[in-house]
Amino acid sequence: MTDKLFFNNQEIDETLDTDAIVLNMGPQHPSTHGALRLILKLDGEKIVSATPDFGYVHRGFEKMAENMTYLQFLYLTDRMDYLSAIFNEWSYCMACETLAGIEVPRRADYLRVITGEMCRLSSHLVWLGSMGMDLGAFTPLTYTFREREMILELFDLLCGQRMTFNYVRIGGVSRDIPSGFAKQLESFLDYFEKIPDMYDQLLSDNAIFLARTKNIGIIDAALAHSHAMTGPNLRGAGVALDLRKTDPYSAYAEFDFNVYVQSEGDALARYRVRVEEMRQSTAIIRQALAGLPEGEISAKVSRVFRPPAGEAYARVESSRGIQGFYLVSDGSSKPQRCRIRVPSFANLSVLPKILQGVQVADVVAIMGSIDFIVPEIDR
Amino acid sequence: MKSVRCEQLKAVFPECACSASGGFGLVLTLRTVKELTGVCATLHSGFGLDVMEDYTARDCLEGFELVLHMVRSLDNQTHLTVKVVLGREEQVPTLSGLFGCAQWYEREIFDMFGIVFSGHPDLRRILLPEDWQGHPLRKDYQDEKLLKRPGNLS
Amino acid sequence: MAVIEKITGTVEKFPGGGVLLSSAEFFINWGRKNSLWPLTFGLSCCAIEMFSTGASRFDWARFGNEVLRASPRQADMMVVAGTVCWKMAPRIKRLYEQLAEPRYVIAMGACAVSGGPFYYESYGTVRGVDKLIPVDVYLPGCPPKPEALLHAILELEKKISKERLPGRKIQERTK
Repeated sequence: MTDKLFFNNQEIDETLDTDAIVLNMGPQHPSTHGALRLILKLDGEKIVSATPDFGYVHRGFEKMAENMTYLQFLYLTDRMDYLSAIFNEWSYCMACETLAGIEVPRRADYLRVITGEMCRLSSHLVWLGSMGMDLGAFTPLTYTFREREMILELFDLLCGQRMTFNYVRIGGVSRDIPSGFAKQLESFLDYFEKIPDMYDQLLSDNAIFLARTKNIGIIDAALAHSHAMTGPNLRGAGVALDLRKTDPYSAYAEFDFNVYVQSEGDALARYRVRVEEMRQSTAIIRQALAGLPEGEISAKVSRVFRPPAGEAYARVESSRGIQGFYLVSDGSSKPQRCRIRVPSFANLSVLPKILQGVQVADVVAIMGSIDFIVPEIDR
Repeated sequence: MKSVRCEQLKAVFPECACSASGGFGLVLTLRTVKELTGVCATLHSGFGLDVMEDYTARDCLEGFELVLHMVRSLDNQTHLTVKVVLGREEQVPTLSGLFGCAQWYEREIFDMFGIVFSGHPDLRRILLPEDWQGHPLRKDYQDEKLLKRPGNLS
Repeated sequence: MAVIEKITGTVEKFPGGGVLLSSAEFFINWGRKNSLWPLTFGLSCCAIEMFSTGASRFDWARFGNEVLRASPRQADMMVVAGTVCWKMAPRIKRLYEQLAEPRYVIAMGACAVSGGPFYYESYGTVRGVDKLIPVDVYLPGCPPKPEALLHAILELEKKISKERLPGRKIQERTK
């Protein structure tokens, strides 16, 4: 390549020979949210082409599912999108229930919603902290992880585990809420009421943060649909698609909450959507806790789960987008095919397009605002 | 949410079979894989099904079965599943001109099943290392690294 | 103070303060074990528990792991947190070789210890990171709680305090 030369703001006749650099980012990198490798071809500070390369945490979930029974595979589903583990289990159990025609009791649905929204909160808290940290602001990380610890204590009380819960079962949930859980959850919600405002004060109006996220990484609705993007990325591009409202599953039809949409499509819009989602999640948990019905926590499911031959595709609105399980059963106790539709795979496919012409320093802001998680992509 | 009805699809695609299933909306089964691009283009422009939510394959007895889940972005509710069965060595025309995410989905199907997509700009493995032998999701995949769980499970 | 009673050395008191006499090994090991800087190396779920350990509640900076260094040349310790897969294996080996000595490895989580829940039926997993690099402390759990990671770091500190100069015996038995 040749660049023009300027002297005293006047173009001179000679040319400067330059070369493109190939910069390798990852797979071990503090900001890549997992083991993702980006091969960036740079012309100075501008990116000419960006190629994501993943598969560094490919454990082979789909093949494992074909060799394990439905119940044995359940505990593994947590480990894909581990920040919002309940949603993985939930969609898998919904697919199994559709296959076998099992109806979930209302109390179990409410418990799934409560734990699911708590998971969404904890996932967005990790996202907020790590996005701030990627952009150089270390303090929000310490604050968000403090709030997250409170949620994890509640999970510890309920499920016995802080992260990979193994809570949702085919037909319902595994255990009922213990005494003291409802009270502790309510006091946490009262505490958390003002917290998103505090994060707004910390980060959202910060001049440096705005300069690094405003008009950066614009994804418009057409591009988002072409790449099947879902979740806050799509809602930040102006499309009001939230599966909890458009196609309500489980108990979501009974709750009153808003779907927050921003139309700019830049990193700041996606950031604002997620912060607002935290407020809406708090409202949903309050309503679910107040209206928790009495009853069974699980339907009667036989010990050896053997659904009739058929197929089922169940999806949930996870904190990253639409996550789904496509199960094909041939009548035996192991699935014939278990396909996992992960939101981060489609969300990341837009990266080569929007990283072109962008400065290197903005790569981190864009990746942080898309909020993908690599082990989910790799499965 | 079945705003696309069987009769509408039958009118446009007379050779394809259309049915309902517990999967994802209606199921449109194509006869041969050669009609895939044509059908998808018509679904995209004529019926507005322009979001490829998932694209995967399945190793069944007769060969491979391609499964394509499509969504209409206008109302975000209308779904359709497109299925087609192909032979073991058959090639599939690429959909990467129609959908932006198809490139990566097709690379994953190639990686896991070995199905070749003709016309794909960059068909290589996406999840496994470049020098991996075999395609794991095939039913006849043998690998000593895949330690079988001992004991009898049924 | 309690620290003085535990060290193997003599304290000579004289006006203005005191002098602590001990072996060079004692002081070098004391300096090394109280300032272990980890490499940012999270692969999957255990990485989040590692972040929790570094965050405000559990705070491993109290134990000397003050900063996470991104470059292996500036780090002392590698906490392999997450599943090790075949594609990542050569990179792990290369990162370990780039770590400057003295270097230590904690295998965090069941996946790094032995393959974990992916031991059976998984074609992509390396069954344990000790198939690639020598490991100092094995920490089981799926994922281990942050308190467990702190316990592992303290065990590593105990191991370091028994090191001898010159050279370093990797397979030393702990009493």
